[in-house]
Amino acid sequence: MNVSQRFVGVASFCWAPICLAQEPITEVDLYADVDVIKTGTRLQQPVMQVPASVTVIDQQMIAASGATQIPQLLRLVPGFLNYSVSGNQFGVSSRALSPDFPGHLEVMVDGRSVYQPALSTVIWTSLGIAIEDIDYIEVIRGSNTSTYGSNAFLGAINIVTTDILEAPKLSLRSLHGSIDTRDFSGRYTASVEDFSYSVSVLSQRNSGFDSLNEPESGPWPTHTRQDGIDNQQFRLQGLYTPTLNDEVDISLGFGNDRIKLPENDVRGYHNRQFDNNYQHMRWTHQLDNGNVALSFYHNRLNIKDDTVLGLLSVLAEVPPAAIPIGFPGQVDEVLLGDIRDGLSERYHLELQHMFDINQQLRLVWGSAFRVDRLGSRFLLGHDDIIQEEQYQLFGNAEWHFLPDWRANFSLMVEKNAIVGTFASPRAGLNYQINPNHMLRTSITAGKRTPSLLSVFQNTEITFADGTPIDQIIGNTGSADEEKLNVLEVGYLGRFLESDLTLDLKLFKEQLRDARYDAEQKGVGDIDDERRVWRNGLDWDNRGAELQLKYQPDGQWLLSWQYAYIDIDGALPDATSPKDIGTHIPKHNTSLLVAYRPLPDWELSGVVYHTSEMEWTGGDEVDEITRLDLRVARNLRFANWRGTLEFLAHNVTDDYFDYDEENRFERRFFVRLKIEFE
Amino acid sequence: MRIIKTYISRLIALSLMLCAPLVQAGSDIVLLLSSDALPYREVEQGIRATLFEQNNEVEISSLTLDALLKDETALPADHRVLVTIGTRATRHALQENISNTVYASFITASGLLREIASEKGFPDALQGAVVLDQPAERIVQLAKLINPKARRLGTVVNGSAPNRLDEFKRVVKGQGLELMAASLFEESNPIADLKNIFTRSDVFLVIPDKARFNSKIAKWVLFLSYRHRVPVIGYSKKYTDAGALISIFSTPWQVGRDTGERLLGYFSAQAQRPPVVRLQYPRYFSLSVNDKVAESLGLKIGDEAQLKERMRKQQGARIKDGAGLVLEIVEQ
Repeated sequence: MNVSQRFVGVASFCWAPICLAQEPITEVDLYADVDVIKTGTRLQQPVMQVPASVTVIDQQMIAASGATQIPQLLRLVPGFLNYSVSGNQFGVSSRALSPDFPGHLEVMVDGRSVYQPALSTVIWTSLGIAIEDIDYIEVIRGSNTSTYGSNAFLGAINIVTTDILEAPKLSLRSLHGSIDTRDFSGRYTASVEDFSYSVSVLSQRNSGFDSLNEPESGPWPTHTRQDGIDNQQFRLQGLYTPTLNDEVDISLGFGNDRIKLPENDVRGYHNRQFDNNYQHMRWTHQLDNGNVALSFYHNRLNIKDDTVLGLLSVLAEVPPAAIPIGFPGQVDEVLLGDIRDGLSERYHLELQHMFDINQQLRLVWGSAFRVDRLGSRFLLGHDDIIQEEQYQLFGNAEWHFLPDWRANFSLMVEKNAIVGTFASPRAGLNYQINPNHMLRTSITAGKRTPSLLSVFQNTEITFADGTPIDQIIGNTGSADEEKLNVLEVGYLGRFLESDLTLDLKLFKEQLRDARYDAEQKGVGDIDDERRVWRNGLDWDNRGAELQLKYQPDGQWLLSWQYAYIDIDGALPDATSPKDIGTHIPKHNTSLLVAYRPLPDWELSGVVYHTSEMEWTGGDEVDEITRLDLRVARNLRFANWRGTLEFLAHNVTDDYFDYDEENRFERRFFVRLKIEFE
Repeated sequence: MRIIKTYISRLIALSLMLCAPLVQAGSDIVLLLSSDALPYREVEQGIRATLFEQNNEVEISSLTLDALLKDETALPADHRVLVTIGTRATRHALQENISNTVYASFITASGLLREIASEKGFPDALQGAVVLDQPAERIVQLAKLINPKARRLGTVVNGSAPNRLDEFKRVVKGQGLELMAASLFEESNPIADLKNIFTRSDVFLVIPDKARFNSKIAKWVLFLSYRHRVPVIGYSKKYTDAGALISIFSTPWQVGRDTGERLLGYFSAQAQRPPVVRLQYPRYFSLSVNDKVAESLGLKIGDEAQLKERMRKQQGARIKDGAGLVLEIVEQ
């Protein structure tokens, strides 16, 4: 009997010998995953299969939050703190101390690390992207060193910008309001032949905290303190897909970011200028089974600083005539300080291969070579450039060994001249109770190479001829890797036909040999005191994190984040050992509610609450409760659309953000976004 | 009440499945699962619940292909029908001739065609099949429903593999519409080809292919959909979650229920082999709508139940409370 006569209903299907050479489409193809998270393991995995706690802040949450600065968005992540060291210097930390320059989180923009080795932190104002350019933010809440290396010691943040193909032809935005805010940004998208590109510009100006714009007096001349910003950034993105299997993504940017920073010791302010540029290219080639990706990026940040500390006699509160007595051969002179001319630079080359070994086992592995460069006469005590070369070998295997069980094994091996070779492994186990409920557990042994700055910093105040006056901070000449052991247990559940999701995590962390700047007696110092970078800070974290998101329909959105942490540890050799637990708030929560009473109107509000704490580089503050409100009106016309927003930040009482000088008052903004098709 | 009843029947089916030995001597129906994975178990539950509701005298047993490969005697010789669930199980049953009466389920039409084209000739054992593919008529009907003004539908297919392009061309033309289609090959520039389709289409249809091909184009399809404001009809809930306006698909439970009903028909026909072996499209299907996408596209298409009701009215079909979660259409 002829086959084609026997079948009814699929006559149109190709039925030729050539078809037999092709693997048929199966049920597995139809039920394959499309939604993916990549940051957790580098593998494309649905949230239910990731061996880590993941928070995704999508465009709806970004808009509803009313945030005007990117780091503010991270307050919507359980356990994450965002603070203002000054008006435009921001810090983000999680389950760790909160210094001026927090450095235990890996922050990436479209997969490119934006960590600055010179300052051991991220300069959030130099990212080069506007908040409206963000598509979503993936945050791994917990150590991810086994995937992304040292910087991801306590977590990883990947800021994913809106794809060129998705972006409107032209978008323009403006933000005006309190603290003399005048922000503008725009993005133009087009294509030439088969090359798609977009050009973005960003201009940002404000005057910082109002509370600092007041004349103050002291032993030094009366002056006005300011911590505003004048920031311009440019960005070019390109996309080229020469074949079905090849994709080339390009991103280039440069900018000039001038901020004023208060100087706590001398009650003044100084100008700091960041000139940044970066180049990022990624080529992805699809294979029959998996893909290969080659990426390269270069970040460069030049730092200029014009801090003038003042006359030595004024600072030391002695008559000018006393200077030659204390420092033979010297006379009273104006002292300069801080970073002066600094350089922070990173080159990163990476090759990654992802493939399926069989239906149960998937693997991603790769290698990277990185060069970090740091230069600053003030920070290092000399004019030479410090260079660190680092090699990385990484891999993650996902083993679907039983229908409802998956195991993930990750390993990152790093090698550099500072601490030699060290490895960060992780083992995770996910049990899918049913399609809507998942339990997971993981063990991580993370290691972090000390930051370049903490190894080589040697800062001292000198006369113009180099004669030392006062040692500020130095190093012990040796450094070991920081260590972290983590045990996590998590649950992810979907209820009410997935309208409600619940993410719960219990964790226990042991941090050992962390770097810190210990107090030490100075030698030949004016004040007989200096600080020295060293290993030896230990502490334990135990706690719970919860995220509950409820979205019953297009009208309502509710997202509640909560973190509890109990910390046991003390600064080991301080004059009087200090409980580290006071530096991290026990309770940290945020609640976002958005409601759409009419199709083109949206009302939203976010409450943030942080229990009392002492900011590591700042002051002790009481519990903080902040309420932000937003009213938005969508505008729709024939070939353009837009949004007009009224934002109110901190509508309740003033609070001190990080420093008692940083009084955060009510702020009001108007934001307009227009998009042309 | 019907929903509660359905849940109870599901619960009972699940209980029976858990309590009963995997294979019982003298089973009327043996279910051979491609693996122990959840979708295959859901098909099994759908079959059991349907048969339990309507004829609880039928003895059903089940085993996985891996269990059978370990112990060939695990398959009772005196079964009346072997129902293969998934491609692996169907392939094994047809190639190894382990049963004289095979009913295939939870397999794509192209997959089944591939399996029956063995060198040993056409397998006489195959009695029928419920395939996973959605009929082109149903997808085109949905396209017209979400955009009644649509005149041109767009799609791309894998030019290097068998595809359903001719079938869709015929159906679209029959509906008085035009199909903007392109075949993508390895050397194609996907964005250039897709842009060309999106700029000329009112609705874009994603015709599922191999997962590798699907994933290669999914990102570009969804980005361009947003950019050109053209709604996309996907083929799975995951596609909807990723950014398609709507997807049309049959859940494993629905396929199981459909299979169960067809088995009852087979038994009532005295188990006579039909004159032709029919590959049946799934009668039951689900829709999933992405409200955020609908809003961003400025479309008001209603929810899944409303859309199904409108499809039912257009088709004149009767409604059954199939899976207990959504109303389902049974094609006559």
